[in-house]
Amino acid sequence: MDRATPSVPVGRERDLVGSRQRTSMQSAVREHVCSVAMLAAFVILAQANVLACRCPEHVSAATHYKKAQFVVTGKVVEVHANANGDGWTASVVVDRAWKGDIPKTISISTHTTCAFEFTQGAEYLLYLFRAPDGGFYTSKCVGNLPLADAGARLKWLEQNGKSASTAGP
Amino acid sequence: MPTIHLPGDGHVGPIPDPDGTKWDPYADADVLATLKRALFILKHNIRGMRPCNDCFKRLPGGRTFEDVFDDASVFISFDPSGPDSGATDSVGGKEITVSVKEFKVGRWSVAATLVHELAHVNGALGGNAPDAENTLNCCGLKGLFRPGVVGLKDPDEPDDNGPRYA
Repeated sequence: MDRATPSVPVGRERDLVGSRQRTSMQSAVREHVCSVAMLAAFVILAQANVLACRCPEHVSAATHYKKAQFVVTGKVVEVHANANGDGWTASVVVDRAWKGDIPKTISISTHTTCAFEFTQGAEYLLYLFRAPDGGFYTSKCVGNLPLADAGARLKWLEQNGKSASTAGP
Repeated sequence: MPTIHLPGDGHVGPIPDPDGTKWDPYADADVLATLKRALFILKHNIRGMRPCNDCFKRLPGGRTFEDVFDDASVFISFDPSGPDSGATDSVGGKEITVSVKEFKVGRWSVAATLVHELAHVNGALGGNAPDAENTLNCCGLKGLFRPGVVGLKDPDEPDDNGPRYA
């Protein structure tokens, strides 16, 4: 009995210990899998985040604003490759503007190895320059951001930027 | 070696971009001296480096770093006012320009920018493709590898977004 009595609890204890060990092992495996997944995600993200165009570091919102002729937020409604195969031209519907008045719908070209990659349907904060053809121009290092990432920059613009109007079709 | 665009050499570079990027000749002696020091680094430290040649050979142009570096039809111009560190007129183009900003950093930064641009000369894609900047990792310039930072935190601007990746 003395042996039998504790046999149940010991068995249970063994089960519990085994269960605890399994739980602990499962947890360790889960943590390991998580770590590996996070590392893989970081590596993939880091790879994807490298710019094709080499941009200077430490450029402030103020500098981007100062250098641009127009700053807008808007949605890309169409993108097509330029006829010479170098870069793209996007049609953008402007939502808000700073620095200079600008039409409601604008054509923005971009070229060289520092061309800015537009995604159709995406919304951006864009820093623009007047192009010789009457349209607008932008590039990779001028400060453009997806609108979803531009919260602080928009706040800066609201505090420091000169609001402009959008007009026309 | 690529040809340095100098005043009076008769070379006509691309027309300036509306964002201020220019392909000017090297008129300033100090800037020219830094460019020559950067080219010295490429010639004596990087040219002939097997991993670098292999890395370049895998680019769409299929040429080694040596092949591209020895191509005198590639021109290097000076950009006094553009927003980029460097630019090439197009993927597979031969008109490189290096920003004054990199010359202010120094010859190693100019050397890294030149390797990046030579990768574009060898067909590395523009836009969001990482190939051009990745060549720095196989060409002994890992320390100068620059991830795509678009809105780096400016210590003078607490409002700034902090690191942002495009």
